[in-house]
Amino acid sequence: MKAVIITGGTRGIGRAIADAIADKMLAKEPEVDGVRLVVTYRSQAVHAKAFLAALHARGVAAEALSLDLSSISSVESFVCYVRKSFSGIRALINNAGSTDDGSFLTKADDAIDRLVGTNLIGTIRLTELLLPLIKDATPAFIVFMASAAGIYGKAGQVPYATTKGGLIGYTQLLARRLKKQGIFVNAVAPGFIATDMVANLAPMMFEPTLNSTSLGSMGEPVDVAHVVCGLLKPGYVQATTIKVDGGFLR
Amino acid sequence: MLYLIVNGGGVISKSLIDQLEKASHEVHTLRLPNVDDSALDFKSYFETFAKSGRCYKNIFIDLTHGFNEINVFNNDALKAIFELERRIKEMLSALKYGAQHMARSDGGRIWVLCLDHSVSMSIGSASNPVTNYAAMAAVQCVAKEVMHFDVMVNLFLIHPPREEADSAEWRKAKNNLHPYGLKYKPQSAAHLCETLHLYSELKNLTTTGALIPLGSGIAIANI
Repeated sequence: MKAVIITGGTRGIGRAIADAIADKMLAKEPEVDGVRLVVTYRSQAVHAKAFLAALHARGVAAEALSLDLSSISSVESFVCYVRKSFSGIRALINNAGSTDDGSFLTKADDAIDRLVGTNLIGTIRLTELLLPLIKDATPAFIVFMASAAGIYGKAGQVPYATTKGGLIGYTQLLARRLKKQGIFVNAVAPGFIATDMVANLAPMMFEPTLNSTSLGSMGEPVDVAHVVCGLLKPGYVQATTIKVDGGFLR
Repeated sequence: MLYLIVNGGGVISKSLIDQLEKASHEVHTLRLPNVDDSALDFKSYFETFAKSGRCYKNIFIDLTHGFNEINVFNNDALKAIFELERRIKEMLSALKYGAQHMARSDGGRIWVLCLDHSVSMSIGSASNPVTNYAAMAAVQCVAKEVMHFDVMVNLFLIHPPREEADSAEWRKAKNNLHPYGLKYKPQSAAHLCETLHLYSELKNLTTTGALIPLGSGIAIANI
């Protein structure tokens, strides 16, 4: 059996992507017909359990697994399980990530290192370890969740934006290395999306940015999910980063 | 004027150092360590230096030299990840403590130097898209945070200088280089560095958070 893996797939944007892919699975779309959906979570097992129950209730073959990208042993254990359980990976959606906003000049080195280790290095490590299984399931798809901050930069998000910029670069690097192997590698860069990650921000943190967008409002997780799902089919879109930011005018 | 060049071992840095010294500037250099050495401690370096009562007015962080992602990932991906992590953390550390150092004085200018990774599709120059895009994002963010301290942070995305490949290799690649210029002409490191030198000496620098392409034809700097 082949898998579709969504890291951080039980909440926010990841959950919306999982729901959208579940719809495609139920509709028996060729790229995901007969696959098993694997969603990962870092710490919130209760959320994961509830979401998994909802997927099962819809008749979706799915499982939820713990994965902490900042831990090499956690990544290796996860990869080991996937290798034992699946013959290939049809799609890897690298959605998991965290943020730690604040002034860069006073931010502790440990906090900077943690974000780099999780968002960028952990994601790349997971992808590299899973590549053999992805190559076994072509046409296959890899999507990285970048961020508008990784394209334009944002005050208060230096390490976060750096990691997301790095993922945009890794999208290009990986696509170039894989060449014509039938693996489609792209990234999506959301702007302000109404998730837990931005729920606690003061309006002054996002209103000036929203006021600089064509649409003038926050996006919804499903807006990102639709774009990700559009990338899960063979085509001429490769090594690129699609902005889902309401038309930030820069 | 006092300059610091981080990772001054590559052809671009060497040429820049030559030009700055000929112009009677004082240039200090810091080499990024090899992967098996202990990490460079920028915090201690800048703290110790500040005790002299002096402040760098220009810091160049040269990422054009010493790493080639496409090669190391093709040879040993896990080793490449280790090295990449270290390079990204060192770049952030240099930016953080360099900007801090300048913010505590009268400000200054930080320049991050990256090698355009697209030209390496045609010649055997280093290709570091992960580092480049990480650095582009970092520079744009940091610039927004430190402008009010009169610290200006910019990034040059430099086409590989002529010295990166021999003339036979450039000739062999000429058809591939048409997207950059119908008769692509690589620039020498010395010529490229004239621009870096010029920017660093501007009396009033009006640019910060910029991604500045430098070289013949089109350089990627935006998505």
